Amino acid sequence: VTVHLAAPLTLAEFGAGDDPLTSLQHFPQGQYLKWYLADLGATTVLIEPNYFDRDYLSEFSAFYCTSSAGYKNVCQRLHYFSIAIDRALLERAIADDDEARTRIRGAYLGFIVRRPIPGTPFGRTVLRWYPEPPTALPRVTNPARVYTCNVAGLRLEVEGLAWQQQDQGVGACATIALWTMLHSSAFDDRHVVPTTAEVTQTAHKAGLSEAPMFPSMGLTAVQLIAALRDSGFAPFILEGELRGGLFGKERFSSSLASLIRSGYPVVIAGSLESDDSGHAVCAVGFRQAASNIPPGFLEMEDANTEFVYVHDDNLGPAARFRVEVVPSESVVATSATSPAPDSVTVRFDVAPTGPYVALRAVPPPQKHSLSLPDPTANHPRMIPTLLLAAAHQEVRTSPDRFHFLGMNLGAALIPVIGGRGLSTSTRMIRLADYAHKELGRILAANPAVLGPTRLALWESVPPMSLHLGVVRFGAENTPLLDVIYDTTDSAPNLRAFCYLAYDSEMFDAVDKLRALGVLEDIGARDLGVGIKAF
Amino acid sequence: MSNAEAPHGKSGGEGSLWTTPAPSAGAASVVKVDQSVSATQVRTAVDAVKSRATAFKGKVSDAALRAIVGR
Repeated sequence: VTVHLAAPLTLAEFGAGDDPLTSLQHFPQGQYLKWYLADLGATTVLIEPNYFDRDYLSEFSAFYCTSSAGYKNVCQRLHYFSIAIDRALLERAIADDDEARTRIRGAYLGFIVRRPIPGTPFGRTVLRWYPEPPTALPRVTNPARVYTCNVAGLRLEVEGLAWQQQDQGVGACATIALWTMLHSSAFDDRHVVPTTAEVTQTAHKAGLSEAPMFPSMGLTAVQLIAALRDSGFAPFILEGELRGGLFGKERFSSSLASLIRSGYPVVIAGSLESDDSGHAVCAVGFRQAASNIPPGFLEMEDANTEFVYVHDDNLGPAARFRVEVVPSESVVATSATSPAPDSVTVRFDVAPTGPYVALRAVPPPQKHSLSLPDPTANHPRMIPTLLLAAAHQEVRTSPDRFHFLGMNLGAALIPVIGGRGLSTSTRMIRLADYAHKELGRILAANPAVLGPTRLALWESVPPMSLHLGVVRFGAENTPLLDVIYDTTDSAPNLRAFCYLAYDSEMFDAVDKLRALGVLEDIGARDLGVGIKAF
Repeated sequence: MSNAEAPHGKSGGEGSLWTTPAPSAGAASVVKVDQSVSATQVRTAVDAVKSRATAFKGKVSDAALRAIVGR
């Protein structure tokens, strides 16, 4: 009888022959992870030879345990560090030596679970984000959370969001994307993250699919929505507004940014240019765009988003994708069954009605000096057609609605403020976080205003929902007005609780709009209680 | 440039609405209310963004819901 045997922790030089990642370079994911870790300055790998992974155990019990191959139920866990670590240093850290522990913890880059499945070895993986240079336009990674590992009593922490390779037995790419989505920090407080096997099982409940559950051949949006609801979440689903379900850049980028800024990762579903096959990935961050408004223009600030960070199970975690705009004139509509002409990169049954969005993997400038193949070199562009996000169950208002309101109200404000350009952007946020973090940041230079503004939210405004919809307006990068919406009502009844003007003229501008009696006409209804935050 | 069209240029500038603080106390306003503006002018301005706003109406087709979204 073979049983698991005890085995020592081992240390190896990153990229050396005894680094398990070295033997996995025939996988695109292996090449990507090596590149990513090299850029993070990986130097040492600590190998935990026996690690029971909750997700793999769930996959094992659902599928692999009945295979005649005799798969094991135990994984390896590989921890990467940016410093050289020898056994003596490790033992000192495990013995609670402060100096050794601080050095090792500070150098921790994250972990990779290696499944005992030869064809799909990359299990749950969490790696630190690339270092952020000082910039006024930071990466927005609000869904990221802290994962804690325990190795012989040594606690190691990494901030990120879990990724894994689809195994095609229990989970397809859509399953993995959904699984990543539910790891979001936004759901820490009230939810247990389902395993990939549980996602697939829920998605195949009676009436949802006629396809076999295992091996998983992919999921429909209906199945994903069912899995979300079953796990206690409210789904947001956004289809591209152009013909064929393609997205224009303004809606795609604004919607994606609004959801991620709200802490909600976004499943992006669409087709790959290479063979027109379906694919799903999960967006976990984006690079904040800047305002750049011509006079008289209403700008959706996030429409300028150039880079999104995507967990792609075919590639790896936090891969940087550029949001490209494809001119519709460059595409010829062809039958889906006819061969694509050379000049056509993707086939459509009907021609798109406007420039549409495509996502291209583009690694940031290489930071390491190793000679590695570019893991994104042959990665096909993806054409998004559907965005899916999970929100808290009581959140019922889609970002589309807030953008619609922002567009109309912003356009109405422009003539009132003398034709000045305005930008607008939206997010959802907990009331407590808005009052504490957001107002604390935005009014940091105005302490005399901060206290009264916070008190006004509590004392002058009718009771507000736990989660708020914030529609922000500004000029020259400067916020001038927040309109705070209820997130718990239906679209026809949607109302603003209040608005906070950060500038006296903006407060007067809203008064002027009210006096003109146009708010109802433009779909903005009443804007609630006015708060002078200036 | 007309408000009927969204810009597709790269981002510019040095900050954003979510990274920049509100104007400091006593700073001059960056906007100025035009008291002579009429309701008609406001409605005309809103009409100009109608096609852009329509993109955010958020209709989802049955075909999109039933299609396999990833293999």
